[in-house]
Amino acid sequence: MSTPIVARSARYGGGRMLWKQLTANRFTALAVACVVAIVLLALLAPWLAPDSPTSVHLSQRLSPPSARHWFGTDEVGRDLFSRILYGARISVGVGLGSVLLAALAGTLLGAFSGYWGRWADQGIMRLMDILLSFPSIVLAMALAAALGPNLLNAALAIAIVKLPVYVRLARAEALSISRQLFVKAARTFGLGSGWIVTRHIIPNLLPPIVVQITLDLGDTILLIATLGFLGLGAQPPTPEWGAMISVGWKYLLDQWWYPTLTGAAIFITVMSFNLLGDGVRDLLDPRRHEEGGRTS
Amino acid sequence: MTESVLQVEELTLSFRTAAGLIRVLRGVSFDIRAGELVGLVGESGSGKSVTAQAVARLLPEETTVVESGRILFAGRDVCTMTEAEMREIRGRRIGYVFQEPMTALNPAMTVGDQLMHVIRHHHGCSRREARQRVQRALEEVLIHQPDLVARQYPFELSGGMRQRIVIALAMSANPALLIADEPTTALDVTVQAEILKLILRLARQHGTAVLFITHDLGVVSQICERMVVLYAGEVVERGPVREILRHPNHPYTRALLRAVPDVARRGEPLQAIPGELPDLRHLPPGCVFAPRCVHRMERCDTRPPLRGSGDTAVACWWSGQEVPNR
Repeated sequence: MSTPIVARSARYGGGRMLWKQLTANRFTALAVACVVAIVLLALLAPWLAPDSPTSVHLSQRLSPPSARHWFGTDEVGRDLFSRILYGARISVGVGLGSVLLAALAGTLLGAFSGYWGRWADQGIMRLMDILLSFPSIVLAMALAAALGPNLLNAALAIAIVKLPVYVRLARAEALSISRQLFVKAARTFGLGSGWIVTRHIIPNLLPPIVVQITLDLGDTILLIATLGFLGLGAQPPTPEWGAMISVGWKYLLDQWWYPTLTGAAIFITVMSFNLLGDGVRDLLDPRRHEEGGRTS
Repeated sequence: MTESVLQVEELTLSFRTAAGLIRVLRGVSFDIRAGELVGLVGESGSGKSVTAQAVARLLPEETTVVESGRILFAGRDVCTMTEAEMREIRGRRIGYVFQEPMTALNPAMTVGDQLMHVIRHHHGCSRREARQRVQRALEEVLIHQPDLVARQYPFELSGGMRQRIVIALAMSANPALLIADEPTTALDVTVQAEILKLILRLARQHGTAVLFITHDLGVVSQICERMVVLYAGEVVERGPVREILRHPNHPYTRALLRAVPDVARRGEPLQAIPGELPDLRHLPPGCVFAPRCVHRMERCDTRPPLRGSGDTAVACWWSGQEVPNR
């Protein structure tokens, strides 16, 4: 009888290989570095920030960047560097939170939809078509306004806007997976639908969902800032980037650092997450290999 | 005579297709007694797998129509059970082994976890007890390093190993009936022999009846006690394996046997059966095998009934006459 001989390291070698491939592209490597830096800065904000993001020093209002205030101060003298650091926590945290919420709910709905078919499938998919028929910013604004303007509701609104993408993706995958033999085999063991969907179908449809999550992160962070800018997200004095710019843009000509540096934070963060998403997609897309490993 | 585990009575089953209803099984009848190994033999497209899947009710419900007949499992008709009742029977009372071991396991879960889930589902036992049962189940299917194998994913195992795992899964609740749908077809010959031996031993040990589906008469002669020969969705002959192999009554069975390589007939060319399976939409009016039959008579234009005494039965006008051995 054959005895399987598989070195245990082979299974874990996959992670290192993935890392190597991911950082092979210069842009992706840069994006990985930026994302890691942003996440670290966000996590360590309470220790790195020289001042509280909300303490007001009216005597130092709108002062330019200096050794004391690296990024200058805003219209009530709050330290801008501290506010941007704390803002990273909100953007990355809420962004990740709402994408994960959309992915979780969407995967469950889509997987059940694809496995069950029939009326449940029809109902869920038509509902998603309705959600998809609105432009995402308009829908997010309407939902956030209807729910009441605060950060949590903005996150919820974004999760709802992002939901249909995950439902469709998960459903398409679930449709093809449920035709595979191991799903039929699971039925012959007398396992119920709930079990089959959560244990047999969902684990096998995760790869494209993960890619979609990384692709959506940048977009979501931008949406949060957009809602904040429009006054439908985080409310002052919360140090949220979009909300900060909505006040700061008036000072663009005389105190350029205020809106510019805040905007730069949004730009760099969204750009990094987008590049990371593209890198992950290229890596996991089987078509890439047909093109001889060419990466954009 | 011991009690029947499974009785298929005059089963006629159709598939709903774009071209209308297609009858894939017509009046199929056979039974399996407790602990007995029965071979279901026929070429591809003869309705073997459909019969097996009908027994476990795995056919897509929207497109399958049971026109008449019954499938009695332990005295109850499978066709009229609710899905919930069926779930109680699947796995617990009827185990199922598929042809392709490569795809019958979930690629995203270790085989130990898969066994554990099924065992806990059947026995409702604690994790610790389930872990011991997994160990025992793996040892039972002759896996030497159960600890190591339990931690592996299906892609890390060979076809033979995977089929052992599938058998362990199917046997985990000690079912009364094991349906083995060509379990060795996808494996190479040496592994095939091991798997056959394993199924035979497990069935004997646990008193499990086995419905063994195959197109390989050699396999049937090795492990089965009785056999049922299907042709184009009809039972053409059934009876004890030894008798049928020695005195095949139906011309189709005879032709099948002549198509099998045999050391005793070394040097003689193998005889293929001329023609092909009839189109299920345009069946001949009488005997389904008549267009390919060398003994065709005028009478064959009316359908021959399945006649016989005791265990043996044959559906043929010609074989009613006394026939010489091959």
